[in-house]
Amino acid sequence: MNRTFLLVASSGLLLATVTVPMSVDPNSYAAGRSRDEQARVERNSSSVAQLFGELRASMSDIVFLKTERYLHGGIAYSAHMNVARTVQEETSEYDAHEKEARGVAGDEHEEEDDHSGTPTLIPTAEDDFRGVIGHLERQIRPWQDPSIPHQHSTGTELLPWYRVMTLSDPHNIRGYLIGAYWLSNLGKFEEARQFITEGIGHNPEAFQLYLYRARGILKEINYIEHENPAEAFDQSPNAALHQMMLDDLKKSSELVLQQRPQIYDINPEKEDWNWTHYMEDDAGAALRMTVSVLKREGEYKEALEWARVGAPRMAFIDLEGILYPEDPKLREYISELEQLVEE
Amino acid sequence: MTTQVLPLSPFHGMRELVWCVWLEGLRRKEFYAFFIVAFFFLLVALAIRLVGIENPSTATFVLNLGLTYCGYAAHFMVIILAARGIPADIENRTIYPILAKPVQRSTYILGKWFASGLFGSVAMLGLFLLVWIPTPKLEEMSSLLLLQTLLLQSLSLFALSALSLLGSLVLPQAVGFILVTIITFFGGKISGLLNAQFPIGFLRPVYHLIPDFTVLNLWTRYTDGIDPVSPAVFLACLVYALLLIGSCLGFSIALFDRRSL
Repeated sequence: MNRTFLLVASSGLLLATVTVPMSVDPNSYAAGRSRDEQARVERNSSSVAQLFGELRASMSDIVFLKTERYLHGGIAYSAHMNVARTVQEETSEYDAHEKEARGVAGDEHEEEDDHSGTPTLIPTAEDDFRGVIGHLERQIRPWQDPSIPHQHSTGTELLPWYRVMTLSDPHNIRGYLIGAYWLSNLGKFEEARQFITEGIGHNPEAFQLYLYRARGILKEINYIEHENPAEAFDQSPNAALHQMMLDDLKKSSELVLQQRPQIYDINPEKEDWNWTHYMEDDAGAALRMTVSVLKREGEYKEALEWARVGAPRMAFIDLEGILYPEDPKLREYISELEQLVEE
Repeated sequence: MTTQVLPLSPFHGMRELVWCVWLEGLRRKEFYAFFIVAFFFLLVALAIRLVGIENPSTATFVLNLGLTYCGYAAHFMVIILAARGIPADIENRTIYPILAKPVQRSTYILGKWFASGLFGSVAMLGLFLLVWIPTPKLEEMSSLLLLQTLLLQSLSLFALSALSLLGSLVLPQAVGFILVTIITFFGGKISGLLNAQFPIGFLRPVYHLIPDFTVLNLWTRYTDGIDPVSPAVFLACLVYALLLIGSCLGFSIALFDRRSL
C-alpha cells in the first residue's frame, strides 16, 4: 500500500474521531446511584464500604466529603454525612442561615440551629470509649461540642472543590448547581452564570441547570434592584437578564415535559434511576416557577398554557398508592389564571 | 523452467505472531499480580456473601469497585504488552528472524496489535467473571447494557493496543508508556479541562483529538441503574473505537514501513 496514501488516510481517520466525543457522551445522564444522596448515605453507613473507603472510584464522593468539612470549618458533622437532601433543601438551608446572619459572612449564628445537637463524627468525651486517645483526637483535630450551634464558612473555600468536582466529572450536575449557588451567594453573579453555562455545555439535556441558572438570574435581578432601587425593571441590563431568565425557565420546562415519565411513583422502593425524586422536585419547581413568573409579568395566557400542559404531565402516585392525575399547585394556578384571562 | 513468486498474503504468519505475543503475555509475572488482586476481591466478595451485606446500595458499590478494577487492570495489561512489544523485539534482536521469514512489516504490526488486544480482552473477561460471579447483585441493572459495556470495553482494549504500538514507535519506550497511560486514564478529563479553561470555539475539535477512552467505558452507567445506550449512541461509540484503531494502525504501519532496524 502506498505509504503517503496510508498517512493521509490515517490523518483523515484521526480527524474524524473528533466528531464522536463532540456529539456523543454515553456517560451523560442526570441521575444514577453513584450520584444519589440516599445511596451515598447507605454506602457511608456500611462497614463494607468503609473498608473499601480509601479505594473509592468516585472522585466526586471524596470531593463531596471535602466540601462538607470545609463548610463547617473542618468539623465533620454526621448530619451532613448521613442525611440525604435535595439541592433545593440544601440551598434553602443555607439561605436560612444567610438571612439570619445577613451581612456577617461566616459569623456564628446564635439563634437555635437545626444542627445544634447534631452529633459529630468524632464523639464527645461522654460517648467516647477511647479515653485519652479520644481526648487527644478532639484536641488536635477540628472539633466542636455538638451542643454548640455550628458555624458555616462563607463558602469561598468550597469553590475550588466544586471546580475539582465538575472537572473530574463534568456530568456531576449537582456540583454545578451548588457551586453556582455559592458563587451567586458571594455576589459573583457573572461567574455563577458562566459556571452553570459550562455545565449546560456538558449536559445540554439537564433541565435542572436551566432552572438554577434562572434562579441565579432572579437573585441577581433582586440584588440589582435592592442596590439600585431607582433602576427600572425594564431597563438594560435588567431587561436582558429578565429575558434570559424567562428563556431558561421555558427551556427547563420544555425538557421536563419531554423527559418526565408519564406517572411518577413517590414510593422510594420503586425509584427509577433514570428519574429520581431529586429530579421530580426540580421538575415541579421548573413548571411552577415558569407559570409563576409569567403570571407576575401579566402574561396570563401564556402562563395558563404552560399550567394546562404541565399539570397533567406531573401526575403522580403517592405513598398510599393513590393516583393524582394533576399537580395540585399547577391546578390552583389554572383556576386563578382562567379567572384572570376572563377579566 | 521459471519459478513463480506468489504474492504474499497480508495475513501470512499472523497466527504465529499472535501466538508469540500470547506466550509473552503469559510469561509476564506482573500480569499474575492483577489476577491475585482479583482473587482477593473474590475472597472478600465471598466473605460478604457469607456474613451478609447491610444494604443493596453497598452491594452495588462493591460491584462497581470490582468492575472498575477489572476494566483498569485489563487496560494496563494491554499498555504493558503492546508498548513493550516492538522495542523489546528490536532490543533482543528477535525481530530479525521474524522479518527474515516471509512476513510483511504491516503483518508484524497487525499481529502485535491483534494479539495484545485479544490478550487484554480475554484477561478482562477472566477478571470480570472473578468479580461478577461472587459479588451479590441486589439492585436492578440492565443486562443489555452489560453486553454493550463488555463489547465496548473489548474494542477499547484493541484501540489502546493500537495507540500503545504507535506510542512505542514514535517515542522512547518509557516516555511512550507514560504518555499512553496518562491518555488512557485521563484523556477525557484533559480535553474536558482544556474545554473548561480555554473555551475557544475553533479549538474545541483540537482538544478532542486527545483519545477519550471514557466514551467506551460504561461500567458506572451500568451500576448506576441507567438504561442501555440507544442504538445510535452505541453505533457512534463503535465507530469511535474503529476510527481510533484505524488511524493508530495506519500511522504505525506507515512509520514502521521505512524504519531502520
